Amino acid sequence: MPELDTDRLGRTGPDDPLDARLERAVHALADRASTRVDAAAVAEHAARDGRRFGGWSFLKREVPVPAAALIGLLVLPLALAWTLSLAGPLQREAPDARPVPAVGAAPLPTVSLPPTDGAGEEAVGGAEHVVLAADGSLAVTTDLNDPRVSGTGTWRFTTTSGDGVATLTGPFHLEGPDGAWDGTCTGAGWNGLHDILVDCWLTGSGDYDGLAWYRQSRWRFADHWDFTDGTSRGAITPGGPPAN
Amino acid sequence: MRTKTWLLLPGALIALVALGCTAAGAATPMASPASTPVATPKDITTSVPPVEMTDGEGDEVVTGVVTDPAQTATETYTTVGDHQQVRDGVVVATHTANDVRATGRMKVAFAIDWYTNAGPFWADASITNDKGAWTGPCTGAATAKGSFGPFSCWLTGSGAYAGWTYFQASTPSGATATTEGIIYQGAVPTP
Repeated sequence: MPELDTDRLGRTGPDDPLDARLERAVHALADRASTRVDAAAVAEHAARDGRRFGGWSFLKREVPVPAAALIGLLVLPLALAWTLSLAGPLQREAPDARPVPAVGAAPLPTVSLPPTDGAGEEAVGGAEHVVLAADGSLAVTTDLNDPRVSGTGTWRFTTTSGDGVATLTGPFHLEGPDGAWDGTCTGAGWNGLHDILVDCWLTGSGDYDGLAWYRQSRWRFADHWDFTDGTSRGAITPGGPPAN
Repeated sequence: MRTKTWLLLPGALIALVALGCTAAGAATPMASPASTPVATPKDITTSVPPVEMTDGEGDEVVTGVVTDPAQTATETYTTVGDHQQVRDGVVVATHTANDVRATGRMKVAFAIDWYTNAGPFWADASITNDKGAWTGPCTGAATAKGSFGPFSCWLTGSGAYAGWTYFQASTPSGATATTEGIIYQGAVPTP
């Protein structure tokens, strides 16, 4: 440390203001402080322990710790936002993804019947998938054990609501591979129409002319009303019950 | 609302009807030489969760089970063309539901047009208890020879239940027949 340069303190005396003397004293102390930097030592130290000098590497360039932390803070919310924005569509596109049923709802019973030969009268049943269409109808896709009743259909219904329950009725149409089925389905809904139970007697046309199809369907919608797994069971018969 | 939870009891309506059909088949020979087979529940799988009791008032979702069946009238079989006409069978049983209004003695007077593998089923049904009764038509399908298949009934209330309707769908599963539907104030819907 250099010696204090008393000359720079200057002359003191009664005509020397206090402020001026203090300023000179500060300057003199500053001149005594060592400001030398050993560049070689610094370089050696940095090479020995880069992190002490903020040497977190990013794209092969060292960045200080605060910068890395800042990048992390910026990336985290972006990643969260990206995940949230894509989770729904990704889940819907995944083949095995299904919306979760309404809270507290028990799983619907499954219906599993052996495949038929697709001719004559048969007990039929299986899975159904239902989507609420933009016009308020229900688009129904049936995946049953008989090809004649496996296809896509539409149910246009009216509902009369009660206190937590409702009745539903309306025309149902389903296109099979070689014909169609038409008739009226009537039933009940509850749980905000998230649960629906209907049955129908449908009359065949095309290759199904002369046949009737009784179907009892049970559907349960997920919270957002856009998809459901359901079931139906019934029979294809040469005729229905006598009209009342 | 009472919160008593109970497990649905197993029923045997279908099996009993099958036995009844078998007996009837012995008395009235049918086109097929073998006796009528019993119900074949192996092709239908169902599960019945616990059910919470309702307060027995107003509109309600109703689930139940049919037990203690007994056949009070044996059906007749008549072969007509390619099918058998099954007529005049009557089964009585106990219907126990999660709503006291739907619990009572159930009577089903049924008919079936039976083909080789299936046939239409229709019936007049009633459920009676000490407060009133529910009566109305049922339709559905017989999906195994000698047994009921899925069917539903629109039952109109009388007595204390006048002005109310009970829509009930029945699902046989093995020796158990379960029911699900609603009780509501109003009439049967019309298309």
